[in-house]
Amino acid sequence: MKKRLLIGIAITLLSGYVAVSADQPSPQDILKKALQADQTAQYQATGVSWAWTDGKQISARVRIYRSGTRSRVEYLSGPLTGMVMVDDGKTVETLMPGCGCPSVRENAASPNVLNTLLANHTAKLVGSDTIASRSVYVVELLPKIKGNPSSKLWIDKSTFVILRNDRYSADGKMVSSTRFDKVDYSARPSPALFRRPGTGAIAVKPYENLADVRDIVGFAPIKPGYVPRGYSFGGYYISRTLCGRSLVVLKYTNGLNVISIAEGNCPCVGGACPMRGHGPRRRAGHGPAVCLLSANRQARVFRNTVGDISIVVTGNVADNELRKIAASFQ
Amino acid sequence: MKSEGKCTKIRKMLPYHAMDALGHRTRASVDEHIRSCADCRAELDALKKVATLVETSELEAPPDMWPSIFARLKTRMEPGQYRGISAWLRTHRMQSMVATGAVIITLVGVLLNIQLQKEQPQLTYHTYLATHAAISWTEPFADKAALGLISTLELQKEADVKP
Repeated sequence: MKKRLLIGIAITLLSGYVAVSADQPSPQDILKKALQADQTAQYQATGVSWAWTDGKQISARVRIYRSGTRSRVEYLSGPLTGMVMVDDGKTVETLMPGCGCPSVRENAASPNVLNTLLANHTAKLVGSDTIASRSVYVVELLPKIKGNPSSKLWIDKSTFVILRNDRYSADGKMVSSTRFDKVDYSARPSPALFRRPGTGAIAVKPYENLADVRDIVGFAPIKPGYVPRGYSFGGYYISRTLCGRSLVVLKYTNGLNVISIAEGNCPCVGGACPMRGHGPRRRAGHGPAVCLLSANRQARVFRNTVGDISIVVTGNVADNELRKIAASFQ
Repeated sequence: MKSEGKCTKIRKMLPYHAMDALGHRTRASVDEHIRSCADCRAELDALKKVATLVETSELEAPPDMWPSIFARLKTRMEPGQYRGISAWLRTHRMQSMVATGAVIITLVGVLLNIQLQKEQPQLTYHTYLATHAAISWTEPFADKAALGLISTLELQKEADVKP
């Protein structure tokens, strides 16, 4: 009798667990659907964005319109009140009120993003929550290799739209966060909202072909001899700087985080390097002098010089890794 | 579209152009480029101003410089070998002209370099942080609203530190 009762309890518990498990999709499935929703969803939302720069936290209320790959972000408060960023799916244009200085950058497609992301991160479904009156899954993306940033996403259980997005630095400090307090899926944003004025010159543009890059900047960019495990080359960019000269930027990604390597051969590129050649920043022997330009929470910036080319490595990974990348240029 | 590579080549010749030291063909090629490139034209104008300053500056040697050099040369000569500096200049006219030209070009080069260094302040780390945020835009699950804040604020800080 007692034995039958125990078996009955076990069967009841097991069937309950199976039922719960059947309700809960795997975190990989949730992320896959979230990525699809990022390409197809339509909505209008309001919320708050936080970011840390130079040790300070800045925040802004934002209104966001999405229609497939097109988006429009309006900054309603904070230091950039009135700024609008329009992404027509290919090109992003940033418009500042009272400033005839639109900044334009072209996007590059990122193929196989989910595979790269999941190869380098462990996705964990850590629970459920409510954001903007919507029931959400909470999914953590933790790096498989130490010294890399992590992320936590709050994903709508019905639409798979990300309603809150927190980013953490390699040492676990929050770098940025955007959370919606209101979302309207019935909204059909007008196509006019995603139309760029098209008045600005391209400031950042992706290139696939090394020969094109070389022709434009007049030198052949160098690839680093070392990149951290999990990162792969994600393309060249040419960035027009405020000193009027162009930088070549090499992008490396692990699916969630980017390491950028800027290279330039004009005297204005590089940045002041007060510690250059001193103390532990100089590699033993007669190797290149690598110095730290900035240690911000969102990214650290290291500099090296090879011949007449200045190299600046920027990323949110462990300092020793960034230093190793910067020192690997010969 | 303007080629950065072409500009780089042309800019190397601009100091010589400013001093009228280019050959006819090279000068024509540079002139053709600067007609269509405002940046290079501006740089040439700046270089010409510096060259004019150098040419019009009234630098004078200290009064005892030449007698002192002359006396030192004389002590190093064997007796009977000295024929006078003017005689040496007459027999080595070409060499002396080349040497004088080299000294002037070196001086102008040093002055130009100082001037160019002054005109090209170094970019700060803000530029790299802004670019970094801009190219992170297309990563999966990128927080675009926050990236927009970071990239624009960093660019503004870079603009603020420029004179």
